[in-house]
Amino acid sequence: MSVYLLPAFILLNFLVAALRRVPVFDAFIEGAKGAVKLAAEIFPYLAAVLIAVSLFKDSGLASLVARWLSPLFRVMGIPPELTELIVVRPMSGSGSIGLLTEIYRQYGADSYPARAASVIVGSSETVFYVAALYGGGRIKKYRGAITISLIATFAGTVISCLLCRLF
Amino acid sequence: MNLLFVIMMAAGLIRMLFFDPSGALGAALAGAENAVSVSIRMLAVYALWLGVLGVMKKNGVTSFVTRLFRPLTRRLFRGEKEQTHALISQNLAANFLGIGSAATPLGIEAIREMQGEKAEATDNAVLFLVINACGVQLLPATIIALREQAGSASASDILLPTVISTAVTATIGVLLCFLKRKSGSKRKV
Repeated sequence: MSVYLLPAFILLNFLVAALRRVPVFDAFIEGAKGAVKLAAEIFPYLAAVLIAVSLFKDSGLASLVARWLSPLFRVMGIPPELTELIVVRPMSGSGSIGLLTEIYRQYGADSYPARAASVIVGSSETVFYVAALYGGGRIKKYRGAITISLIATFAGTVISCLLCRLF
Repeated sequence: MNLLFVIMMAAGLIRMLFFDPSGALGAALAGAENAVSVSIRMLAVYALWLGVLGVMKKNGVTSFVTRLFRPLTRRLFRGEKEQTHALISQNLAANFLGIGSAATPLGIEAIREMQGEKAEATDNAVLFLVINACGVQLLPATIIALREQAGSASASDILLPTVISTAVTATIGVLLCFLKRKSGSKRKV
């Protein structure tokens, strides 16, 4: 369904605009003008976050932390197969998709770990990336926004694991 | 963010120096290269969606979406200008539909409107960031497609738990924001 949704949405917009005699091309240019400036302003923030994430992951620290946390997670009903995914999820979108497909391959796409992992990834965001991107250029002090997001995301993770046992 | 950055960089580098010193610079550069490719992809995405949003502003769709979300944004984001409410509404609408790429430029602009020249995140900006970082979306299309590819018999059976889990996550995030506000104002008194 979503394959049709976006193109249809864009088409609808252009049709409504044309019907209302809006100068569509000019309006498009007016909006798109901001693109280069926006991308350039966000770049240094993205670079800093992604460099830190890359060092953290490639040094093996992410899987080390995952191993430490695994017993604690198990108490909360999170299977040990998922700990690394949960540690990586808030840091790297592509990294967690990679781990997700690895879980599919290893345990089968319809297994409990695979379903729980799907729900965890689908119901959360790359918190650090969102914070860097959205705050980029304006926010110097996040005043708990990142901490709150991480806590809420973790609560969602515990609930995801629980829901997948029920459904 | 400063503390977090130092901890992640230092911990990563220290471990690299002990176990894989030759890979350290490569890992850092890989991160930077990732930022370059993400930025270029975002530039393309911005050009398309900011263009479409420019059209939406002129054809009346923007004001329609704003009216639709007004009851919600009015309650959550008190004291913001009408223009900011429009940006917030569109960002939320794009998120619900799963158009993260359109939500991003709108979200960035909304934060800029909320912040003005302030360096510390305002209460509203904190709330807005949390909502966006909790991944509010109704259709996990990418995940379902991935599961299908991996040979799942019923790839979309994760839909309901995902929607419930997202809703719970976002609700907890919003509640925590309001709790924090309350404790903060008490401390001042």
